[in-house]
Amino acid sequence: MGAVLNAFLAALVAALTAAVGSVVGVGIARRRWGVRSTAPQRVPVLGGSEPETHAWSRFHVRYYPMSLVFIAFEMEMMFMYPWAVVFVAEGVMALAEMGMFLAILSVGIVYAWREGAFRWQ
Amino acid sequence: MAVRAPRFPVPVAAAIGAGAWGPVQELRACDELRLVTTPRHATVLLVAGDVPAEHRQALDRVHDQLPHPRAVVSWTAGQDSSSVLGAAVTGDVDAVVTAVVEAHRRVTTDPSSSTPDRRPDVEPNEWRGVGPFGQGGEGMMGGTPYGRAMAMTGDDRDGLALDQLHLTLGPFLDPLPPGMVMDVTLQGEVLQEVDLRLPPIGGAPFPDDLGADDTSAPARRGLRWLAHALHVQGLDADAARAARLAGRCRPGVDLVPPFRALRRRLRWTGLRWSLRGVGSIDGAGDAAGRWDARLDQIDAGLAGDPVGGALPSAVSWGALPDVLEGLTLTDAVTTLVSFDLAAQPATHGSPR
Repeated sequence: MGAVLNAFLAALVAALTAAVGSVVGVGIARRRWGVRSTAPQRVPVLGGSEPETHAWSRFHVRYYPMSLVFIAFEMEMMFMYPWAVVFVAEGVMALAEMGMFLAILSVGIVYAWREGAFRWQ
Repeated sequence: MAVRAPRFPVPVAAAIGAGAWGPVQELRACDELRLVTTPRHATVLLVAGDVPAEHRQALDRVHDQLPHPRAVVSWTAGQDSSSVLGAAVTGDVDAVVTAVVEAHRRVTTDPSSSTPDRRPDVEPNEWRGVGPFGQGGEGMMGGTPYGRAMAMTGDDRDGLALDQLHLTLGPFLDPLPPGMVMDVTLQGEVLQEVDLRLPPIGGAPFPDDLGADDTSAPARRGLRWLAHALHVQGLDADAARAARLAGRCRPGVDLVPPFRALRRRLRWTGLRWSLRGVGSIDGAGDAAGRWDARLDQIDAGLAGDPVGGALPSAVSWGALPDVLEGLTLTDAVTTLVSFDLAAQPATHGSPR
């Protein structure tokens, strides 16, 4: 019991020393070598002009529909791995089933194409 | 070179004033320095030419955005040194390179000589910590932290409601012609609204720059445009080649073979393909067409036929917003560069 308590105490002392040491070390480093940015340095680079709106704004990720379509068809590829493993054993039956699966998915591709999901905007 | 050059090119941010745009482009040929696109990456600020009074405050802001240690070199025309910021140098490209390398060496060996801020160290407005994130409004909307309003939504061209970001670009933004200031409203990267506030700086050309009777002047001007345009397209090695050709461009020097070699090289970069269909306007084609016309004109100029190969018709200043609105920021910059506003200030038809 005593030995375990001593071990915990030693770990606690080591953790405290590390915490205090790192805080003091970072503090000294900031004092000694730290560069404090000034207000004019924090302004975003616009070629000499100042921004009128805050930088916190929501940005439309225009590749979003394309990435969703990509993920959907990547999942299709994942279904093909176990199919490839049993393909030799199952034979023509497996080929027909996969053909049906891909035929259904290609209807989806045609639909997405018609809706303009593959057009870069 | 009189001074010992560092082992890497000195990063230089250029703030370009009257008439100095062309000579600055020739600096892209120098191995000793590298013109960087933002002052944040530079140690030396090169103030080239006379900066008009209306842009002095902007110049101070650009100066303050260089990280310490920093130095300033002013490339002046010689007679007027009242606006000089930092060490003044007059002369050709070699003199400027020497001064820049020397300024870099001095400030890196003695960081205490770094130039202090020129703008006061105060926020435009004080922080008012209201709201869940201290932004001064409700949720993620509204409020004016540090006096700058949060972006609010507006309808965009695709039928969505997206945040609108209002920015003022210029006058010393690398891809734009120097002095040009425009207010833009961005939704994502699409320019929804463009308002031109100030035209590019005109003014007298730099001394010992291209003379009117210099037969090689049109080709040299074209090569300078090419150096900048290639840099904006991200092809800095080719931009250096174009700038090197511009520096060697004199009457009687045959630069046609190296220029055609550069053109063949550009064909392999796929640049023309990326310019196709960008910035199309009625009667003036697209950016690819304008590039072709300019390259043909440089070729004709180098071959000793400066009038051959007509320049593409310039866009009028008033029509520019209509051309830019609806484009992405990248396409807008590509379009602006293809018009070459910096080298043709006379075509603007601006009242200012």
